[in-house]
Amino acid sequence: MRRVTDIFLVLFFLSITFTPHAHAYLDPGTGSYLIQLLIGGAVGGGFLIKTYWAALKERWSKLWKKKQPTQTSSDNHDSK
Amino acid sequence: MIPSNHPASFRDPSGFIFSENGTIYRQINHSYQHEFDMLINSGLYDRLVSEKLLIPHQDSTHAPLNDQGYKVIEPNKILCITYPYEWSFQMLKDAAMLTLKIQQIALEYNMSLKDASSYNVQFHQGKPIFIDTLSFEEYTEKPWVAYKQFCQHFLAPLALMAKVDLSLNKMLEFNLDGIPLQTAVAILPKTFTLRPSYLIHLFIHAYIQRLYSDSKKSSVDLNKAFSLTQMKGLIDSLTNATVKISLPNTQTEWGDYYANTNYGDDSFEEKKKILVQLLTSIEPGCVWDIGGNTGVFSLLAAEHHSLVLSSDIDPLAIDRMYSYIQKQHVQNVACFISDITNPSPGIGWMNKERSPLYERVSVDTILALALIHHLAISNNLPFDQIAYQFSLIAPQLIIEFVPKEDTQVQRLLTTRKDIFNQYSQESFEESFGKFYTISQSVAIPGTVRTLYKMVRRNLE
Repeated sequence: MRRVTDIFLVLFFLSITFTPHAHAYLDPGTGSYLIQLLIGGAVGGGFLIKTYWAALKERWSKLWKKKQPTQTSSDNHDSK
Repeated sequence: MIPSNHPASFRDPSGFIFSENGTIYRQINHSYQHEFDMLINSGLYDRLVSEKLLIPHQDSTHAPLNDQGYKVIEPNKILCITYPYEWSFQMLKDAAMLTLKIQQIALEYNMSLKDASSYNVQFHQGKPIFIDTLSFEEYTEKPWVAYKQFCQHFLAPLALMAKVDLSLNKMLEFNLDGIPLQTAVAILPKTFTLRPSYLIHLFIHAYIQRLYSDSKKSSVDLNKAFSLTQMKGLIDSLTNATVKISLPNTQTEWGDYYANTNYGDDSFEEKKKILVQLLTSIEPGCVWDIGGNTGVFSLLAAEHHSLVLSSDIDPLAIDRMYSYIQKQHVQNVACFISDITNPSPGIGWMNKERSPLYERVSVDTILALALIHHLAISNNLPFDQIAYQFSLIAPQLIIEFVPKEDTQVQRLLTTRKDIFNQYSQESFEESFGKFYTISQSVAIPGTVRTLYKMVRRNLE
């Protein structure tokens, strides 16, 4: 899952083209600020997918557990 | 006594650290009142302290030192301040994970870290803990202001340590605000770019930094919002990148550090017994085990006495000791990497922002086991010099003399011309006798070595 998100992130980044236009004075810290704005959609999207996927898995495993026959204490006792 | 401001505490307008009569205080300025009250009133402080992630503090009755002061707090004391260039790989990694975890939790309380300096983390009672109570600000929908700092202070040095050389966190010693990403990517193997998270957070990050460092142009609106989900995604991505950095197996498969000694198990146990007896007779408050290796004797001292600092030149040995401390929940041992022949200097503004090692270490007893031959023979240090330096550090000394007949010394001499005519037990005792009174000496059975207990002369 994480791998897919990472690849999505790189592709997203590479798809961005820089079309420069005038802006205020920029320093090396600005690059760190910019990269976050550029990858924000991808990391945010990836995070949402990951969160929903985890929730879905948890729900599914709960449903699966419910469908399984529950072992009663008497069963346990008998098996001893 | 006049309070003195900490020489490293001048950059942050939110407040500063000062000390008085050995107690550390932190003044919080009115300019930070809103954020500090939010930290406390939101419940974030209680949550972080209860999870042992943030150093606890008490409100102090000490008056602020100037009219900018809102209040003064008294944080709990740290046993020994150490810096990231003195940490092992796992220590730096744990400090990075702590920083990210705190940011994750802070976001739940509508707050965010405004910096991610590795100097904001210390090791307290065996675990990393965040010490800068003034690093929190109200979250606004903006990119993480500490992102660059996190990459330079944690991600880049960790990658360099894991992929190039384990000692490269020493680069932090001459790069005060972390390793510049452009330097890091120039050294890192290019195969590292195959991993998307490192490609983005290190390589592309460095590229964009360079692209905009001397340009007045940007294609992106800097006022663009950065949503909470995006922020959480960024922290999640950094967490994954940090978790995945690990040492190659070849580096983590430690040999038995004590297997190559010239004495057997019985003698080793005898040495332990003698050491315990000597320590018990001294009852030290705080011991510094210099050249502590993986910490066998440091931990032994910790079992019988209160506080122990343990240092070694070998980063893997310290990594091993740190892992043991973590696993066994040892709370009274602090370990760090240090070459006693070249201890960390003062760095930064006026050479005072980060203190020299000897200013941070306050101990009453030195433990120098199987060390003297490395100092005297490997480093050509005269006995007088060693004794003088030790006497400046601590009033009590437990030291092991390893004579020339010892196979370990013979090993050191195999590739050296033996110019060490003065290396004898007699001249050792004579030199150390100038600075110390030798109060006890015990030969270790089954070896040619002797353990000494000494007390500094001027304290008699």
